[in-house]
Amino acid sequence: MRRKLSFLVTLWWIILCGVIGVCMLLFANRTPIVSEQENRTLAGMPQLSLESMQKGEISEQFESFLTDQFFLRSDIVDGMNSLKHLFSALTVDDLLNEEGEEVFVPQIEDAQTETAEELTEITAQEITQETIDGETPLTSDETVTGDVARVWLEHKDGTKDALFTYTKEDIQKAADVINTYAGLLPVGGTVHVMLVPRAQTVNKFALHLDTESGWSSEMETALETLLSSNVQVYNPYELFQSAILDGEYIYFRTDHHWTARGAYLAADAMLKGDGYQTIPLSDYQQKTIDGYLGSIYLHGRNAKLKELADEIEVFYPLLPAESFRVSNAYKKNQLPVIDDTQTNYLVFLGGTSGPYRVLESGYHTGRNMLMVCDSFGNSIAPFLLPYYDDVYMVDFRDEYYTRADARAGVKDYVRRLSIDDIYIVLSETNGIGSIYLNKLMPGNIN
Amino acid sequence: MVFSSLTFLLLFLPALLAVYFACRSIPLRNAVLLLGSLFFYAWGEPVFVLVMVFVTLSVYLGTLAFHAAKSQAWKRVLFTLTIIVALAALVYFKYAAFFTNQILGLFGVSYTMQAPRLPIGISFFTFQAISYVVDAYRGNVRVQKNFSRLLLYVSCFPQLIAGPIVQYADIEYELAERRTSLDDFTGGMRRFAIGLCKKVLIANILGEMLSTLPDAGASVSAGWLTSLIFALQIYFDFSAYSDMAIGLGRVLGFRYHENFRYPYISSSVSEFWRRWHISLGHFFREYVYFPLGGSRKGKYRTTFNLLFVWSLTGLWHGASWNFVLWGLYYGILIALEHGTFKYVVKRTPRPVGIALTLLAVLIGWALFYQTDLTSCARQLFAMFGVVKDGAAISFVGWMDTQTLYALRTYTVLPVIACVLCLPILPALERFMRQRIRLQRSAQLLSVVLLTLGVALSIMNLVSDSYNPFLYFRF
Repeated sequence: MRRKLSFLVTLWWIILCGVIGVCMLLFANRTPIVSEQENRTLAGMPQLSLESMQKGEISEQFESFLTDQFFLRSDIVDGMNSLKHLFSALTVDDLLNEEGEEVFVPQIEDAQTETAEELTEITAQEITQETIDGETPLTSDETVTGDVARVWLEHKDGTKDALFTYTKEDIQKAADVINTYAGLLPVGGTVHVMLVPRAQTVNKFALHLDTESGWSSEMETALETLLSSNVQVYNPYELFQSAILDGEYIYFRTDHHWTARGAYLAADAMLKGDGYQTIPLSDYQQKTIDGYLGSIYLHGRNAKLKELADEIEVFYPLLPAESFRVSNAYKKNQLPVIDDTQTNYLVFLGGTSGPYRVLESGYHTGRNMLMVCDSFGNSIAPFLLPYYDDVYMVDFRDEYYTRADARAGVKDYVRRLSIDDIYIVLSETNGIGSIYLNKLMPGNIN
Repeated sequence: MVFSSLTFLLLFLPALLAVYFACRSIPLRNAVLLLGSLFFYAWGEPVFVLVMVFVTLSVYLGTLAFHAAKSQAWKRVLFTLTIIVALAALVYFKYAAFFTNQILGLFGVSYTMQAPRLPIGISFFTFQAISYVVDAYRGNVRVQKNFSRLLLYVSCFPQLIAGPIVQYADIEYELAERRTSLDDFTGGMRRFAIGLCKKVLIANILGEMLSTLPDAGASVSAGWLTSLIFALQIYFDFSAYSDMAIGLGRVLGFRYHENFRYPYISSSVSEFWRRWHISLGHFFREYVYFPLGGSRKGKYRTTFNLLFVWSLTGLWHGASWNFVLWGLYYGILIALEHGTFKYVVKRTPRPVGIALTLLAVLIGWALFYQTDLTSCARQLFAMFGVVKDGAAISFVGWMDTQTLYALRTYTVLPVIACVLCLPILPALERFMRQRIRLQRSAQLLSVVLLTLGVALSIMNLVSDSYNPFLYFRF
């Protein structure tokens, strides 16, 4: 009897598997669809062709179709991730600090906690920071002080941790690139530079206000001393400190970006640096979108992070502004400045689109600006509109930028588009020592 | 196609089993199984199916030819030719580029030959074909005159791509006459389900953990943990395939020998290899070591034979010096165990023996895991606390943050995997089955656990396809 029962259970399983398989063939979505959560196209039913059969590609494509279009896939992914999390010792805190970027991340020195006195004794040989170009690390006779710049997280007990360490060589390289950009501007033009921390870095401070007292960065000062007079560097750590201590919602929890409020703080500081009287945030019309789960959540789709869903605040431009994608020097597609049909970070400018964009502000100030940025630029751009006629934006990352489509480098932009000011707004991952500042920006000057 | 894919689990297997059992006669079942196996192979490797057919055909014709030869000399010549032709494809696809580049390097030629794409499972089906030729030559099996049966033996999908290496003699009878009882069907599918869970729920996730570990030279912990996690991953992965193959074979009416018997409880390296990939060890012993004279031709010849066979074993795993070194490493250890340390091994208490064997095996996996000798040396140095930078030698840290993070991410699984490496579950099952009152619970528990395991495996296969491209358009 029991043998028969086992047999029937086994048989039932095989039949169930077969039924699911046949249902997949008959009823699953056969056309490729874009998944908003994964930001990729989910595989559809592959087309049978002799070529794909010969190459054996059909098997991979068909397997992708089955897994991508599986019934209740999203719930299954959530369930499995929650289950896996049950077997791990990671806390929500760890998850919020999870790295998900595909680009260069400066080395985090988690294990280092010293008092200020002890720090002077540390030799640079202990610093293991490596740069992407493989430059020689600091030699043993170079001391920390003066030869590297660090970002510090300060604890209430008087000690501090180095969050990032930047070498003198990397800072010098970045300064050279920025100075080249400054040299392209007409007289009176300014380059504004802000290298922005990601939420993973901010969370190390903002989520631990019981133990952390503040943070500071030596990098901006070190950089500033190497720059031309028409370059202004802004220290986001200094800028955001009081907002974080006041518990302002300037960064998302589940996404690596700043919120529009964080972007406004940065825009306000940079514009004031240029002498502008800025428009208060309260003058903008605002809308809130609830239930946003960003890149940090999507990295592992952890159920615990789902409970920390963010809200997205958007602030509409004061005058009707128009935004266009520009390719081959022609305006191609009109894009939204605020796309409130979106429920994620794409709400800002509808996301990045290359090779470059122009935002026509509707104001007549007689000045134009170019922003060299990554995705952090998308949320800051709307706040720069009242001060410029046209805001040009370029993101040099390979996914977006091709010289052939752009038919221009920064030199051409400045000349042809009558650029007065350049804003460099990049996340820490695209900052000092990164491929962005070392290769992409210098590579796209001429 | 692989067993741990939705294509196999949801479509191929149910369809094949339905058609297979709908046929009543063995010739019809053989035909279904042959066509199914060719489709199974061709699904991912459509062109290379010809390579497999070519190897089988050459073996088939060669065997017929030397079987018909009148003189012993001709028989030997034809036998040698058959072996050479059977090995030709394996040598070309797997080793030609490696050896050519080594030879060109010796003469300072800068040209590098690109290795061709390797037909999946070529090492397995070639060895099966050779075992048939040798056994037929020795007269241990009858020459197979039916080509489709020989092709079925070589291509039979359960053992086609990852073994075990099935000797022709073991299934000669079953190719012509076999039956599947209810117990065979249930037991076979149960074994398959166990293998599937081992592969998808343990080996795959250990693989994820391995990929989150830092460079194995980062710290002492990173070095050892890389070896340990790899040891667990490769065991669960490989033994899972064997479980699935043995299970499916049983469902289809074939009895394959066990390929793994809890190798990590071995108290000597020799015992380890009697428990690890048993069919490969058997093949080399039967078809290389014994023909070379085995241990019957004196101490030095025995040592040479061991080292030669183990170099070949290493090379079988891959065309790289790492693998040769790995093979030689085991050859030396086994030679020492059989020679100088013979009595030490015998008198060592079993727990000490197990610990020492594990240590040796973990060091061995460092040789196997790393893809080049430099990384290999880096890991081995780090395992013993040393980092070598040029001529300078310094000490490496005990623990690094990335290793710690990986440990915190996958805290429980390595522990579960370590426990499952021990024969605890079979012992528990035996214990429960021996007690009548617990028999029913044992069976019910087994059904519930496996049902849950298969469901979770399918869910994990779906979940693994989740691949967010987070920064697109951001």
